[in-house]
Amino acid sequence: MRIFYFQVTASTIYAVIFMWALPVFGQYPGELIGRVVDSTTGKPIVDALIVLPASQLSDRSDGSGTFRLRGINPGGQSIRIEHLGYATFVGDILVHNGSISRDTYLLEPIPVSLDSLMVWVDHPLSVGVHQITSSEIQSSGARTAGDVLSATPSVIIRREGFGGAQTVSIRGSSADAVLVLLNGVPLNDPITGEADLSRIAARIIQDIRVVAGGATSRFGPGAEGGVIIIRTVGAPVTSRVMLGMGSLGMIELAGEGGFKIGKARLGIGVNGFRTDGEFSFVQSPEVGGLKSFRRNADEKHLTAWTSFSLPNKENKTQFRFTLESVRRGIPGKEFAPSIFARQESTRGHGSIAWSGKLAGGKGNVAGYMNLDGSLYRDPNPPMGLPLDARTRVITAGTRSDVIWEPIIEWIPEISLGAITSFQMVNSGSLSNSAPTSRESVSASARGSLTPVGPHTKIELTAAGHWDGLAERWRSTHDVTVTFGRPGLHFYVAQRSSFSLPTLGDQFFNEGIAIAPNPNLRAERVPWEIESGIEIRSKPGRVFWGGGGSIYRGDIIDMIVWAPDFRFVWAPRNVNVNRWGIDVWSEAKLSLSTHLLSISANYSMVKVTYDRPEPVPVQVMYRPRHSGAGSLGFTWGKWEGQAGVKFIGSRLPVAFHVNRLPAFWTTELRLAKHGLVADKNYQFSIQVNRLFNHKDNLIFGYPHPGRTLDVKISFDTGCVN
Amino acid sequence: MCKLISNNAGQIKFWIARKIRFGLTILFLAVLSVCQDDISAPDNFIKEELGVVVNSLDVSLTVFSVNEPDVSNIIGLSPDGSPVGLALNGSLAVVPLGIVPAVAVVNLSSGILLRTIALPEGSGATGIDFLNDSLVLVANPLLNSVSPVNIIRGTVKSAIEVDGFPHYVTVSDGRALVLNANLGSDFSPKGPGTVSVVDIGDLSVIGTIQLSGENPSGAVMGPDGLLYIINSGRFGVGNGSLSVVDIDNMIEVSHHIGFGEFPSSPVFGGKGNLFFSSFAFGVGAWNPSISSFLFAPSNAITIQESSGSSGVGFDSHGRMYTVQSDCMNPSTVVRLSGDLTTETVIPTGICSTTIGFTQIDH
Repeated sequence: MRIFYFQVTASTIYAVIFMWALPVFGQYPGELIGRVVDSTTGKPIVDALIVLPASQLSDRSDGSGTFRLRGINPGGQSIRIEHLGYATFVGDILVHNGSISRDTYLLEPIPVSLDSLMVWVDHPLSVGVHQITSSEIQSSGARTAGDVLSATPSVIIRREGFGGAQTVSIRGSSADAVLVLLNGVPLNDPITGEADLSRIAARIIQDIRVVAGGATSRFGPGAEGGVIIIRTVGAPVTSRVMLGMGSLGMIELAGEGGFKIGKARLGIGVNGFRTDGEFSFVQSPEVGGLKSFRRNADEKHLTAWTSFSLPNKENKTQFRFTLESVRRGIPGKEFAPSIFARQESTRGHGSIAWSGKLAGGKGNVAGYMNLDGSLYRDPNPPMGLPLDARTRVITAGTRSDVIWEPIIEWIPEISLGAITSFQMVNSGSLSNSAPTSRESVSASARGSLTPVGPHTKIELTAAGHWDGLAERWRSTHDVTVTFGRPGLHFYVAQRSSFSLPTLGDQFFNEGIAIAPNPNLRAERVPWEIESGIEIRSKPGRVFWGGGGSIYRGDIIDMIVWAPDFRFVWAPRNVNVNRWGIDVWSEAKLSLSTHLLSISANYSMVKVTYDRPEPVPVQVMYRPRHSGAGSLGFTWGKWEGQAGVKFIGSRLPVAFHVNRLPAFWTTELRLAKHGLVADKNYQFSIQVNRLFNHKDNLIFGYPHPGRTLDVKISFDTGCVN
Repeated sequence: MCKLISNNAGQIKFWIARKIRFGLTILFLAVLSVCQDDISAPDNFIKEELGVVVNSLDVSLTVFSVNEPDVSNIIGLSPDGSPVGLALNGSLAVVPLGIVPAVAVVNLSSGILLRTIALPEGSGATGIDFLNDSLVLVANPLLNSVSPVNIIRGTVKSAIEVDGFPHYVTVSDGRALVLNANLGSDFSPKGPGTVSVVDIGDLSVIGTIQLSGENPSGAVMGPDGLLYIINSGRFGVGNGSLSVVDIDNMIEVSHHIGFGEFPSSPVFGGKGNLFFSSFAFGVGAWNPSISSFLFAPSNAITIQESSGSSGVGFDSHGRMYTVQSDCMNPSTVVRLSGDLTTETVIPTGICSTTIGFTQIDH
């Protein structure tokens, strides 16, 4: 498939900017421009529903919490604002004839809990689950989902230098032990088991939830290390275009719009990104320190998406489809560059979800399908034989649950859930003995108990999982006890989880210095225990929150690639001891339209080989210490954020030598929004790696250091 | 202005002259000091013999004193690489880093990595030996060449083309002998290997010796002046063999088969026997004088619970050390007593492959 990418010149940029900035004149009986924000954090609330019943007008707040209602009958009337997780706001407004009224609306958050089985329809936040909101994503200036997650406690994003795939590790897990769901569709590659987060543009993300720790009983196999739930934006209330340019020949162009069709809402969008990725660098002194030039590091991404939602009184149906394509070079290590290696991949995934009354309870049913075609090619690798492997994968599945609320007071909720998955794989990377299909089924039962009042909750989950490849059942469980009072929660959880070997682990095409291992066992965490606390307080105009957790969960038969004495690499099972701590804190000071915020988090994970040696050795490339911090402000139309990320020292080998030093990176972003010719605009400038640090998590992949991104976006019209 | 310059020039001349006088004085004192040291050297310096083990997977060296093997030191070489070769000269160790095209130079006395010297891109650096105190010859198997490297200056001279897939170098009697494994891009032998003979004076190939065995992987000069080459053969086929080569006449004088599965690391031990190791069977021994096995692969020397060995060596006292490699866990080196029982176990790094010995001055 050939993809069109944007060839942007300076004149094109000006044309785009001015085309969307053309003034639109019109007279309205009255107009209300408002902003919906969280009363405790001061953060904008995205996708809140604003209704003027008397005028029969409604709108939804955008990424900055802003909404606009036009054609309002002058005079006083009531306004209602709703958003999941917040108390509904009901108040009065006064609209003058022919004028624009402006106001800010504060919504009070209300405590909610995690649903039993997280299908991709709306799910509220729970203790122990880290949520990244749309406004946080926007203010971070991140370009990919991996960039967004890189400052999240317990999460390590692994990227081989500047550009390239981004995989994720949670609490020292392997990347294939973290389940990544995009609108409920698993993104994990069936061959490698890893999800490439660089392929999800941050711009299309509504929010992300990170469930750290084993979650197999709720999400099925593959969630042994945790789950990342990404929800993309729905139909936006304003159409918008964005142009970004930056270092290394980076150009990003995006646009999205929304429409109302009766009660239904339709959203469409497109996002294109390209970079040359070329830069000069000096090789690490450990490999000789020669001057060199990074080649074959170009990337081209194109993402197109659409969403369709049809809300009714008693049920809601949502449909989402995303088509994304990536073409990029795989430049290899600095000392062994692969200047001809390429990856081409096109993936389409669609999902449909329904929620409503079902079997006397509340039901959620979601189905998805994923079509993936990819090609890895290297006609002249630095070592070994040429590679030309095509892969075609079809994945389909369902996630469903039914929740009942029994009459018994201390059993507020019981539910049954099911997850099914079916994969068809045809890959040149796999041997002839590899299966062409794989199916799995998970069934779970869950109950919530509140035996000593509403603030103490016991959640019990038991699940059975059928793996069609191994032809066996496995069982997992999760027991979580939450107690405390509003603003202060403690929790203790005990659970088990597992992650199956991937097709690549077991059936990779045996080649030069690489061999599969058909006898691999599943990774298992049979006994994981976690305890945590979460505090939220709002003295005056200050919001303060903090929390922490401590956990222990040894991994039995962790799958690690290691060579034998011939230096033939193959996946092997090793036992690993693991325990760790995550702590986070944030504070926000809200002053009218101004907001100051500060946040910090720190994670420690001790994940060591279970070997008889006096000093335990940390598993390769799992930094024991990591953290992030940010300082942000919103001052009228200005917004700024300074962020630092810390990656602690780590071992590049499976022994306590050659340790790589810790490093910091610093980002700085400044943005301004306002109105030009009646159009909202936002201009931002971002400096990544401000102090030109060139370190990387993984050794041998060069980084250009300081880079600059400039973006400008315009709202081009409202959807009424 | 001119006067000023003239005055300055005079001051500079005076300053230089004073510096020269000062330098000569220091030089004289230094010579005097060295002469005095020469006289008293035997009393002040203590020779210590070190065992040095290459750990391939963690890219490190394990260094231990043969007198105190319980105390060992581990020296990291690089965060990446796949070293198997080792050259020792006094307190210096030089290690080609395999997939990393570079050599690491280590001071064994201080346990410090002195420098890493880049080789030509795509070298595959494997196989090395000292040509003199400052120059080593490194094999570039993926480039079919060898590179002379000055480890003091950190410079690399022009590569010398040899036969296909050179991966072992040994120096003897003014000649560097380069074993060419003749492996294909799938790392399987395309045919029998060769030996390139390089004159270390003008750094040129003066001859090539055709071998009968496949995949020559290690060589050692025998007490009889012949070069003994172990051919590892094809993996899984069990066609290891021994080539005996007359370097002066540049001819393979004999070829002996039956060396089993993937033998390597030839070394002469006590009583003039040739020892070699294999991951498959342990340590074998060949008696060159009668051209027969002392320990054939079928009754090789093995360590308890482990049948294989990735390397074998002897210290100056004639004690045998075998490398018990483990690529998932720390490996060990086992020192055997005269009756071939375990005397000492020395912990090493991950995937240990090669052992060598050197003497340093303290």
